[in-house]
Amino acid sequence: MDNDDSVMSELDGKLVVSKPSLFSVIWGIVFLRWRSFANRRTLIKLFLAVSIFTVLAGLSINEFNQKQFEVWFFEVLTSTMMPLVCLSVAGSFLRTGIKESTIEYLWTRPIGKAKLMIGSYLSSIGIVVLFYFVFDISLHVIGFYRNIPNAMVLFPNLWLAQFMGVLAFCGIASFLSVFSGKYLLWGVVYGLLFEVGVSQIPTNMNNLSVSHHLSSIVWGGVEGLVIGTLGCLLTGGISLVLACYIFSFKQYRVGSSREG
Amino acid sequence: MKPIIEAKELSCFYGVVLGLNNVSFTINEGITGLVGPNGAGKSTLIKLITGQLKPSSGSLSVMGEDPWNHLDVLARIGYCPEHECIHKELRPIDWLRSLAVLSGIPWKKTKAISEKALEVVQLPSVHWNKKIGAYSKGMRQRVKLAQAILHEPELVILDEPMNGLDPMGRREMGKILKDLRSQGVDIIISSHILHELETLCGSFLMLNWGRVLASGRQTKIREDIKNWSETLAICSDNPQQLADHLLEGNHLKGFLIEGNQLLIWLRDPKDFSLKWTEYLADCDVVIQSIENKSQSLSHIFEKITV
Repeated sequence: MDNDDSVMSELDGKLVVSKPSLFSVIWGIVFLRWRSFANRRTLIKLFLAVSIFTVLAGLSINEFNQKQFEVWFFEVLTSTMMPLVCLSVAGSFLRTGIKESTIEYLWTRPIGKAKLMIGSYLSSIGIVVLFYFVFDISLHVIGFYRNIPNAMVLFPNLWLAQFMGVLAFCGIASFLSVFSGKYLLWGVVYGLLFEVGVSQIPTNMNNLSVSHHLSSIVWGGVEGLVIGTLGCLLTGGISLVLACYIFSFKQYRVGSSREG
Repeated sequence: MKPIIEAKELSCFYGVVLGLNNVSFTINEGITGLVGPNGAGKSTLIKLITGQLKPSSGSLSVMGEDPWNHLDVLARIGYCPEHECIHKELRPIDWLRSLAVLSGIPWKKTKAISEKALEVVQLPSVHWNKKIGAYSKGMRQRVKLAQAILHEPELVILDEPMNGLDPMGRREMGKILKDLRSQGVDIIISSHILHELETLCGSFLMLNWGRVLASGRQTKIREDIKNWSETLAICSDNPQQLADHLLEGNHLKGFLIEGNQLLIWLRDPKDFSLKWTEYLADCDVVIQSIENKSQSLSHIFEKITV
């Protein structure tokens, strides 16, 4: 009640606003995206996707077959699905905003485009992690019912790999989305070139691939875990810095996928 | 009058497409109408003022600062875009709260401030809990205006805010804007609905093809165009004889007869306005009425954009 009174008394006079902090920007964008995301239609879509995934994984994973469980967890859920999910979630926020002009409500606020980019990146991470949490739970339920040995033992490494993958792929997706309106196409090109192609080259070249770092985190022992984690953090960090830089200085034409 | 926006030889191009072409002008305090047909450069100018675009050449100063990547300027501006797109799946309060926190308002105050903004734009509270997607066009315009005034800016820029509003809605929007002005807020409003702007705006900036056609206070623009061909409609019992008489006196640039009405384009409007009784008295016709067709701003606009 005291708070409300103080707000109202301040409203009677002149409202004094300060430039928002990075935390305020992040909170504002997370709130905006959460409210947009948490609607019945999206939740139904998520429920359907999880149901289909659970049925397919449940039919494919045989009892006591740890290898099949790992393939579903790592190859399907992490290496294949994750880049696409990150591209869709992290890439779409700003790019859809530019195409539909809703970005104008955000970048005409006194927040700076770099902060807006960081807010978009972190909120995307939150959404993808939440999305993966639901899928991970469903896969572990399958693992429990299929009596998969070591399913819970593997969980910390698999989860860490997933989290690092989200950081790196969301960074790359953010970079691609500010770089070009055709970010989905560029994302597929990137995936084929680096995640499918370069990751298979057994020299230091494969350090350029996020998938390689993710497999190091899961199966590379302590050294692999450290190097893989650093590799993902570095990829995410560099991509985010580049995205912030480009977004701050490039001119975009709203209501169009073309740049000015 | 304090200038809030000053442009000097300002140009903005999208690649080879012309947005604004070497324009210089000043916009002073008050309500200023930005007028021009589609493609005139209104939205480009608004995007430059709100720091969304960088000038290709020349300079632009908004409240003394260059708006491109200048957060202090953005903090003092409220902007209502032209486009219809809003997050349709959101409730207005949620949308406004998130934008309020991005404007630097502490989170705990955002609810009260958002509600106050919705009250200012006169959106009935029974609609506050509905999703924006369920709103009529007029209600969406009000929510869009609410987000522009959330942080109590010094300058509010509205791109075609009357779009989609019925006559009553336009009147109410006009009243809201006048109330804002009475609180000391400067307003720039772009529209092609000139009729509403005439009663609302003290000053105008008229654009076409990326160039400034006229600028300043309404009265000054009217004064300026007195030097241009003025149009009069004269009803008489013999319009042909009247036209011949005025042509002989070399007063006309052109004329048109429609029934008993003679529409004339004057060669020297200033001279005619001083001596018209003399000129018409010389002619032996009965004058029924004289109407100055150039008095409405719509007509001026029509004339200068042809």
